[in-house]
Amino acid sequence: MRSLRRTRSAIGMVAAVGLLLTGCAGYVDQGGGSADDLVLGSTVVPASFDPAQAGDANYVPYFQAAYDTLIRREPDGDLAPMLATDWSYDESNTVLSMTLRDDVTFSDGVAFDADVAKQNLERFRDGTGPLGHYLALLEEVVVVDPTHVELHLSAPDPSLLVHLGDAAGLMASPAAFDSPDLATVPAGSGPYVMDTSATVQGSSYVFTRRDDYWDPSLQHYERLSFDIFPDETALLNALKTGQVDAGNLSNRNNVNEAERAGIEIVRPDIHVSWVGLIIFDRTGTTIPALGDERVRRAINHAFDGPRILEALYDGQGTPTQQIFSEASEAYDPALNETYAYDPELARELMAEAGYPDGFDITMPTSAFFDQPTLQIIRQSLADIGVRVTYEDAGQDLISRMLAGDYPMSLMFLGAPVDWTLVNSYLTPDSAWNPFHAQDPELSELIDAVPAADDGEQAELFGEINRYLVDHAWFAPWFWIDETYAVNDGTDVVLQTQQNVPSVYNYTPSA
Amino acid sequence: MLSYIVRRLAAGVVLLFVISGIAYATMFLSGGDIARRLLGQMATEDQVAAKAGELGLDQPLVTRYFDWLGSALGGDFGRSWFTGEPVAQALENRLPVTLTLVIGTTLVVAVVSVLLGTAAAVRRGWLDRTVQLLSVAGYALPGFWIALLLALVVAVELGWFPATGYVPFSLSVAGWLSTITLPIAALSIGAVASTTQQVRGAMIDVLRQDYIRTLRSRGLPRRRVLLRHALRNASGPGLTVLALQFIGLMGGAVFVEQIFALPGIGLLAVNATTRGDIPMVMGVVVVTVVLVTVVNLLIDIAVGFLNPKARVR
Repeated sequence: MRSLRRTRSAIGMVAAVGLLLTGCAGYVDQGGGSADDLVLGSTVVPASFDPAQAGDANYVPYFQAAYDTLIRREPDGDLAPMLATDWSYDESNTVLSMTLRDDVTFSDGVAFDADVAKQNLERFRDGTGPLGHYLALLEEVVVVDPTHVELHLSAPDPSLLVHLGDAAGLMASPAAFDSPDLATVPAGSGPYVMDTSATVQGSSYVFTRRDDYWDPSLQHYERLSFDIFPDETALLNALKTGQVDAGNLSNRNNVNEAERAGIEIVRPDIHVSWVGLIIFDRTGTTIPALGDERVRRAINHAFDGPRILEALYDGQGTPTQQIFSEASEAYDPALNETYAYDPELARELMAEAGYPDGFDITMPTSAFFDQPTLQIIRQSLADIGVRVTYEDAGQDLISRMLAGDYPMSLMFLGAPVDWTLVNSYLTPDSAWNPFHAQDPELSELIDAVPAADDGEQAELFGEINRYLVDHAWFAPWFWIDETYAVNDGTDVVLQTQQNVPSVYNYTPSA
Repeated sequence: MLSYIVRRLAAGVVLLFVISGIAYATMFLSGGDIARRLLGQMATEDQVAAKAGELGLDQPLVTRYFDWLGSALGGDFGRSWFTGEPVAQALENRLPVTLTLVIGTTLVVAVVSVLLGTAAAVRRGWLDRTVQLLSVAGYALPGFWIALLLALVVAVELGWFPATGYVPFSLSVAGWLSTITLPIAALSIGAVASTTQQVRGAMIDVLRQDYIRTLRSRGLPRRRVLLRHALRNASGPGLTVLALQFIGLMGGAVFVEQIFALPGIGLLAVNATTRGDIPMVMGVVVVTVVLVTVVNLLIDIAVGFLNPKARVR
């Protein structure tokens, strides 16, 4: 009898603990799936909430939650008013006049005005943030009156308006400028305010709707959370169980698994990143052969981009031979027919250039690169006589590439707006032109861009793009699909030329 | 005993200085281009140089180490270079998560291992063979595989527990229990397997001792002989293994934190180390050395308490 009682007690205990653990609704609700809450999963931890340290790509939504920008980029890339209601350039395109809102306050109660805008812009330009070069041409900000500023530039900057809709346009309360806490607690005028008691830095960032926000049409949720996942498989599991509403999946296996589980995968019409080779040493400084465009064209002919895309990436992408974005007027589908896969022709070009026996080249490897792709590169180049030796660049891959340590490398590279692309990759001083390659023909085209009107600029970018393809400065193979997973209950519109949607683009499903 | 404790703590302080010096030097020498990693691929060389100066990366190793040491002794561990979060706050937020896992796992391991190990040693026969077989199996199965399996089957397919995340105890007891159950289960299986074998072996040795036979022959109840005499004398090896398990779990919890997306100190340490986040790594090193010193000391005291022969003077 005593033993029976003991057994019953034990069963009761187990049942009680079981009920406690599982509860009526399964387990404690962590937010996902509710119409009032939006939980976004990410594998990227925000580096800082200080606008002067803001990054691009995956970092953008963290800032958008708490900060407003001077200009807002619509999902299709059009520019819309935000803190600036109107703007215009002077005839020389070196003075940008902006009219600012007069009804905006920061979360700490400080009012936004022209002087605050000036302080933010100068702080961004003078800081040590990763995108400080966005305002490199900004000479002076003149406060005309509390609602008007003029941005004086040392030369026309065709990318400026886009950058003011991005990191360079983020406005923070000046009262927080000198606080080290600005790195972890934002002080913006944005649609949400960080809930510091619910936020665990590096793990979960929780924001609540700001009641007195000046534009309620941008606030679609009461609560917005960013959950950080150290591993994409964990993010996939959280998507499957509905703990998060949406998240960026990049691993092809995870994408396929998510689709099998019924999670919607959205893919942008305009791709963000291309995969292929960057031929750094176009000057022939370390590998003389690469200074000959016939050799560079041979390298382009050596790769079967569509087949690599099919074999290694399940065909989840689009072949390309140009680095200008599909969103750009400079993008020309006809250019993608320039280099057909033709090892025989490649060998002829090599012989014509004086390299019938090929040459040796050292290229970097890193944990960022997958082995099958590296092996395909080695094999494809060996077919035309180029003998590749790989060297592990470790964590410093980017630094070493930009320091000119490697004449050529595999790379996954973004396609920003045209003028940013030119300045990042093509000018003699561009970070991604470590051998300072230049050509009078290309320089003339680039130099003509700032003073040109919009129509002429489009034409010039088109000619620059054609020059790059014809002279084989790069060897792109394909655009890789961005794959964004979204659960039932959430609608999202993707953002052009941004790998994750802006926070304004999410709405609860009807 | 008091002077022993003081001596051990003093040794711990010396250890702390030595290990922090080695850790700092190692991070310094293998750090690579931290400023570039911080600023990303689009930053110019001038920006990278400015950031390196801002972080003091252009200073010599010795200067930087003593700067850090001076601040640390004053209670300021600095801020993460990569997230701007104060190191002390990061440790305060994350240490409870890992300690919950480690202490929870240690408790589960202690209870289950003593029960299984003792039962196997006393009963022998089929029970002993089954326990040994399960121990070998539990030891052989990779912990990360068990964790993945639990996440997929119990969390994703069955929906009994959350697949990811951590709910603090202060927010919800039920939520807290639901988020730590699977991670603790995943960590416990391998640890139970090895500790059970230790307990079983120690118990078999003790049960063969003459004094146990003498106690039995004097008519003492079997349970009293087992619990008060045999188990107490066999506890030394078991506790030592548990202490090692505890310390090992501090690092071993990393894979569980990764699979279940738990904001623990293990993952923090791995991420900080791979990125070259020296302030954060040093904070983790200090906390870990202190924990290891204290746990070892507590185990020595516990062993002495249970077994007078092992007491130190």
